Amino acid sequence: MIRPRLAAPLVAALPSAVAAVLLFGAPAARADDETGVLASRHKTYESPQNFAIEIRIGPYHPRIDTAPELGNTGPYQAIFGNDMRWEVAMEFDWQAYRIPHVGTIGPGISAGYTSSSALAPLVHPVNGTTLSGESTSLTIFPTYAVAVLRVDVLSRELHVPFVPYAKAGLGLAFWRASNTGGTSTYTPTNAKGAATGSAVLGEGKTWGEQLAIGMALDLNFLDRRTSQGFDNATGVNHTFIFGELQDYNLTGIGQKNVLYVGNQNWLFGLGFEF
Amino acid sequence: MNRSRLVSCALGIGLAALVTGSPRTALAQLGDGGSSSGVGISVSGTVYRFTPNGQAYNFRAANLNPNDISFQDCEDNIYLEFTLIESGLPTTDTIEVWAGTTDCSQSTARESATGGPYCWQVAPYGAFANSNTVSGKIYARNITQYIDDTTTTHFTPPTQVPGPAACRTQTTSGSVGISLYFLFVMNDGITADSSTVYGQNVDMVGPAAPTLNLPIGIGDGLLLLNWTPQIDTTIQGFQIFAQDQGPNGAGVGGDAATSAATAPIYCHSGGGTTTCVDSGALADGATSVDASCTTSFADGSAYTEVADSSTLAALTDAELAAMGCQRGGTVHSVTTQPPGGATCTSSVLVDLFTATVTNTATTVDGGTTVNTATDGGTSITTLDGGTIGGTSSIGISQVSYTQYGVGNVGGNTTSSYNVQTLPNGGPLINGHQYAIAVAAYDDDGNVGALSNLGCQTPEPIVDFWDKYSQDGGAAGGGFCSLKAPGAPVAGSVMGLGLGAVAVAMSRRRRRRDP
Repeated sequence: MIRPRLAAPLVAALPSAVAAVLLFGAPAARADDETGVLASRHKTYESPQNFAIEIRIGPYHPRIDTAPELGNTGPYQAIFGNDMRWEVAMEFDWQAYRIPHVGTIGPGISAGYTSSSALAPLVHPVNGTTLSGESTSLTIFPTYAVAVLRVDVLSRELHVPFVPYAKAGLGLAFWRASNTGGTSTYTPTNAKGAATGSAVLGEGKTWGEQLAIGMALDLNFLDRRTSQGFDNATGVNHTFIFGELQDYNLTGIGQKNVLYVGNQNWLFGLGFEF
Repeated sequence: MNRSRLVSCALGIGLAALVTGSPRTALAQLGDGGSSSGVGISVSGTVYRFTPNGQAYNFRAANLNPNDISFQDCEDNIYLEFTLIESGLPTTDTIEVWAGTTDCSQSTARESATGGPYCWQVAPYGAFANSNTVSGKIYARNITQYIDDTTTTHFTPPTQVPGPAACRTQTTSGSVGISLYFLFVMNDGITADSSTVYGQNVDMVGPAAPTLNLPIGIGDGLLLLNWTPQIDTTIQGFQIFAQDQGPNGAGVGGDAATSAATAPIYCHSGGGTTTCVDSGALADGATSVDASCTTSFADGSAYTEVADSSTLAALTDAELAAMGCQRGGTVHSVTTQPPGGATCTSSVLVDLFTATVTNTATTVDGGTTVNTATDGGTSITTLDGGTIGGTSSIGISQVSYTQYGVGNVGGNTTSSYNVQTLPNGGPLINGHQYAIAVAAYDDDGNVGALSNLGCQTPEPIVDFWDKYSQDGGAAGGGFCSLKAPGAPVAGSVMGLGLGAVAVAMSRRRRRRDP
């Protein structure tokens, strides 16, 4: 029986525990692999394949305005508008376990960057000008730890160069609101401008879930001789491009007062398995 | 090689050394009438500097040409102390010190009234005695007074140190190389027995004025400046000056004092051009505000909300500015303030002196130097997109950096700066108008002519974080904030720890299995 006063921290700890199992638990699977029971079936000309790395880019529109406490005010859109913003990210996967006649599964981690910036409006328009010369920005560093399943049986056994995949795990985004003077702060004031509360710093983090499905196109089929030579020279088994639909549902896990910085979008990228 | 060839070779090397020697190196040489053998004169050691009352004058930093004569050196009326080493000189000779941009050892540069350029004497008779080792002083102003007037004869020795006007004689930008000639003149008063020359650079004008781009950007307690610097390799950085002109410039042009409690207070209605007046007697309800002031402010509150226990007049300038109001004697509404201050003036941000010069530039497509624009000063666009020709203003700013300096940035091509603090270290005040000017300084520490003047008023802004918070958002507080009841940081650490323990236990159990 867990005492109620411990319940909240444990709930908050659960996502991290899952992530830790994904990260630290993988060596156990690898240990099995080393016994030969789950050994990968590399073809004779292939170097061992254990990892994958992805370089990713895609549009990013944080769902800040969907937070219920904001009502329909839409502060993000009011300040930054609807212009397309982009996220660049890099993901590293450990293909720790190969499921015979299916594909690989293992943990992966990713870190990205995206930023929205615009000129800040003036409180009181000056001579018909509503915008100041000062910029206001929201910078987000989305990260996640996921389990990645890559179904490469089509490519490996049927020579169909498509590799569907799925990812699920925990997301954590660090974010920072800033203006030309540095990190933003907000101090609630009355009509006279007198402070009615303490200043709140415009930076924080948001937990959430990360789900994604995608399809990779293994480029080795374009020139198998060259790809084999590339493997022999660099150890890169497969080079692929991919498209992915991700749901980065960052609405806070065990958190209160959350900035919804998640995003649901298509993204594209280039990857290597090695 | 025979003996005569060796001698001629050695002479050749010696002559080459004389010709190619550093301009700052003092070299003994014969004048036009010199025939003495075994005579010599040289400048010994460091040339120290002193104030007029004999106090040691500090050298500038090594990157600011400490041996040059800058405007400030001249303005401070320093003198240079030279020590001469002499040998084999007839006792009937006298020492004269001449300055010029030409060879002053030639009598034509010192005695003839035709031709030119001419040299001028920089030390009175008797300043340097005829003995083996002698020290004497030369005032900087005696050196600088004719640097841009070498076509007029000034042959008589100076009898006094000239005034500050001698520091404003330079009309060309950059450093001017002056040669100081220490001549042993024979008793005919013309012929030089021997001489030595000392190179002395003079630079008494700053770089050409940059162009301040208008309007100046408005920020929250912040003004965002951009300027276009002149092409000048001697620029070491830029100084930014600001004058606080009171609430929206209300203190400019003889308006009423801005701090008077009885001064009218003006508010604007958030984007319109109307200006309303309140006498500051809201508390008793005797005086109401103008109807045009009843529209809402940015925070959604109506103007009439201020009619509480305090009067408008009791509020500080900052509080008034936060409300979009100002205190001042004449209507200078925020909403009608010309952006960038097209007509603003300042009585303190002015130059000490300026001169208009024709720009010069070196093209980058082969290094050809173009001295002047051939069309009379109109700018010419070069193939590489730059411009040459045109005119610029050079000179010296007389603005006190201690009193009005709000920024100092290094770099030859720096072109922006955000002004956030006043010279006293305090922040810029929203609602106050500031007159702004920028000046470049060179490698002699000369702060050049000011840019065009710009005026602007910082105003409160609504950045994303303000908007989010005003709309009801409550996130934030820092990356390690513990605002949430779930204590996510502690939870994260605990979670990672639990996961690691679980994995460790799993592995340990597996190892124990047979």
